[in-house]
Amino acid sequence: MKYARRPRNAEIPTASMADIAFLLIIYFMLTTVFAATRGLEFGLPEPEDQQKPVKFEEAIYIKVDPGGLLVDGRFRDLQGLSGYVAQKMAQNPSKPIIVHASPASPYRSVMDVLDELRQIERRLQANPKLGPTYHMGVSIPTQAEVAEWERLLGRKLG
Amino acid sequence: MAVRRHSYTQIAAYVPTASMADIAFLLIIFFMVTTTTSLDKTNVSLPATLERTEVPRVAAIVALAPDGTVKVTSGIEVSHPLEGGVAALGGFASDLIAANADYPFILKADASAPFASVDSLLEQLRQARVRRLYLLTEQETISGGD
Repeated sequence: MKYARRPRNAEIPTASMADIAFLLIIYFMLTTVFAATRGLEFGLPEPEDQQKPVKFEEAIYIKVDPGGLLVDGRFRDLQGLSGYVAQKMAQNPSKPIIVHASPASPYRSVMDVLDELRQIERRLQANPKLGPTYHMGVSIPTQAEVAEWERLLGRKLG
Repeated sequence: MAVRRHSYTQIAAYVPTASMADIAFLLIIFFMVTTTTSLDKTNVSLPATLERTEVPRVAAIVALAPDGTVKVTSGIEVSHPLEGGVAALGGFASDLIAANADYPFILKADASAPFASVDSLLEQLRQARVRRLYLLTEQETISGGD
């Protein structure tokens, strides 16, 4: 006796595929963090590096305090600092710059100053007389170095 | 005048969803390609700068959190708290520099951290003869950043 076979349609159920896909999207959206991959390059001197000592009187002295910026004895904002330093460096590109950050000043303020100085350096590098290899002489003294300067000067800096 | 009634054919309203899975999978591929496994997940608010250069992909990371805790990674393993405090950073960095004198370091410090904390980290790295150091920042907008 023969039975009649019903034809079967082979199919892959895809009804839940969109649901699975959206769950995966939500997972990736929640776990994705856009990592910061850029920053300022910073040159550290060698520990025993006997560099030519920067003469305090010849340098542009920038004191970074929680209360503001003191540039060569005058309070200035970032724009004022930029204009003043750019003018001085245009006259003498080899002029040393001392960035003296007080221990209590926030890291943000120091980075703002370094960013401004880097922008001035970039503009000076565009000058054909100086070229792209030009670098400003920026010193960030350690607390020990500041104490030594203050001892030699016989007064507090800033 | 006789009024003729028009007969309308019934059209079933539906939202076409046939391409939804394709769009979803495209989005998944985008997130899979752009997702990078970050070795250091310390939550810091980075300072913003206009001048920025690309930092090396493989580098040691020194992270300074707002509460003053320091985490480090050599660039291979997930970051871990520095046992022994800031004074131990010199030893950690020296080991990496002994293997590769030009090994790059990235300082990821919170913008609100006092400079004294950052200065002590820089001093430790200087003593360890670190030559290549990058201070991680985020992009500052022209209107003023933070």
